[in-house]
Amino acid sequence: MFKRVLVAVDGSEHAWRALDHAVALAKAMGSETLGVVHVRPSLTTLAYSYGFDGAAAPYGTFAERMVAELKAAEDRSRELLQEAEDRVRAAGLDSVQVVRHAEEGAVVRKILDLVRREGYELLVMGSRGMSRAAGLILGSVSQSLVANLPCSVMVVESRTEKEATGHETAKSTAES
Amino acid sequence: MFKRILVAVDGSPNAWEALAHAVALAKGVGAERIGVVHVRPSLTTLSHAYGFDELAMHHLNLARRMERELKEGETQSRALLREAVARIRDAGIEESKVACHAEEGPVVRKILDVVQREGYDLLVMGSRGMGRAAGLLLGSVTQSLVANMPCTVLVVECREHLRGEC
Repeated sequence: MFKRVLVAVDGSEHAWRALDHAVALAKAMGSETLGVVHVRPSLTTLAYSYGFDGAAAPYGTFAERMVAELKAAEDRSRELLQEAEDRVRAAGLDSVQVVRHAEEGAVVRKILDLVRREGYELLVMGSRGMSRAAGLILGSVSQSLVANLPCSVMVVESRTEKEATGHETAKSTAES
Repeated sequence: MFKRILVAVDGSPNAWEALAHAVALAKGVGAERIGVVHVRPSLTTLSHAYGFDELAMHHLNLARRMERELKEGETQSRALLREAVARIRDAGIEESKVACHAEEGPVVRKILDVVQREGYDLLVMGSRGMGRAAGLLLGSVTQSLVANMPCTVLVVECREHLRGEC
């Protein structure tokens, strides 16, 4: 039913869990393509996180640091996508074509663009990613992607056991 | 991973499409249970819809009308769930794996309760249901359910123009 599935990864445990779900889903649905997308920060995004004042300071070292970070981000992104593909293969999903998408820039915008450009029918992601804002059920990126709903979306629940105690208790009582 | 799948239905075409996706998924992963939930309005919900002022007027007609609507709501709910079960069965899933949840009251709260009580690990629903607010990508019920994330959630996108694009 979902021939083209895209999963967004960022190296977080939540995202790997989402990848596992996407693989299970692709298997179950007989999907043809499983895309994996990672969006790394661009110079602009980095400049924002440092603050423009910092970026504007004419420090040679600062510029070097930015260049080094961009380069490191590119390497990390490549490794991450490689790992994602390895995990898909390790799960024994041979029939599906794995496509890696290394993007740079604003995370939500880039993922939305990719879904539309490549005609993905289902986007799978974790309920939250790298940032660790306490108590947040849905991360800002996931929230924004669902709100924009470029296609069908699966948000994989990834609260820790502790956070989901009520739910776990309900489950065990239901099974007993 | 997707052992227990719940689909929320409300009679809208989007919900039927969500059901079709849930069934395909349940078959593919060999889910042990597929549940269907429908939440009908309670007397309180109806009173809110009519406005309490009108209720306070003690019109016998209004009381009768409310009673009739509640009864109709129950009948409709039962018919809807019957149709859902028939669709699931026709898709080749044993009836012993199908569960029906006829609930009454506030929609979001009731669905969250069912997920937690019955330990569902995937909730499937349409991107929006009966409400037809123009331009809304995500219906209020869907939005609220995603925000509460009782379990993994699949929002099935049903906009015609998008499907054409994809």
